[in-house]
Amino acid sequence: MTDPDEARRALESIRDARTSVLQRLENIHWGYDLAYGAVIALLVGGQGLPQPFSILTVPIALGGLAVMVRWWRAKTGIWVSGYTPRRPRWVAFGLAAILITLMLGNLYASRILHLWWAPLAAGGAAFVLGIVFGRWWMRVYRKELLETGA
Amino acid sequence: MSVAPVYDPVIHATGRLQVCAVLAGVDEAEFAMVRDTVGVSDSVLSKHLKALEDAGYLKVRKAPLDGRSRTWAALTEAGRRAFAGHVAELTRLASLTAP
Repeated sequence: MTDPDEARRALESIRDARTSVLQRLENIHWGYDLAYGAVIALLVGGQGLPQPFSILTVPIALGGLAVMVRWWRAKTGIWVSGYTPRRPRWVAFGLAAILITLMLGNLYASRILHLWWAPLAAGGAAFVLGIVFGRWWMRVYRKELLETGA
Repeated sequence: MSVAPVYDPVIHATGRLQVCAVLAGVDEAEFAMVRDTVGVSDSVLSKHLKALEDAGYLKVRKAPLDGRSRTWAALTEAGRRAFAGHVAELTRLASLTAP
């Protein structure tokens, strides 16, 4: 193939397909963001709770995450891991690094300093960060999908 | 990382380019979603998927969802590389006499 016009039409058809994919993601209810924030909050904040609650929060949070993944797949017909797309993965890595720091800070503040409010503060911060980074990830993903062919 | 522009006739065929465009942007996609996005019938999409699978560009798996078995398709690493190379070639060609 050597026709520039045909190449342009082909690139346009790629953008059309990608736009269709993105339109499916437009219909995701905002409740999904809240649920994601709640799961992250439970995972991070729960680590500062007394036993056995700190251990119990892990399977509950991971179970919630599994339900969310299942719902997402059924609703959109696609699956995208946060760490797969090139540029958005750095948002996911950034969130993971902050959450690990927050989790360790929560453990230190609650177990060593005995600050009763540490799990609440860490959970609250994780909730907000989960929502903010989740939306940020989606914005970067949309941009990448429309800008690049691959 | 830049990709070498390489024209790929397997990917460029009508319909298959859009199938690859959808799959390259996700980890995997469900059969019905791809069919609706590309706007083809079940049998036509099956042929496209088979051609891509035969080229080693695609893998298909069955998984239950809502009590029914669904078909999920994903590009292989070779498929992602081939699609990226093909898009690079299309971009190069399109820029030759850009208005």
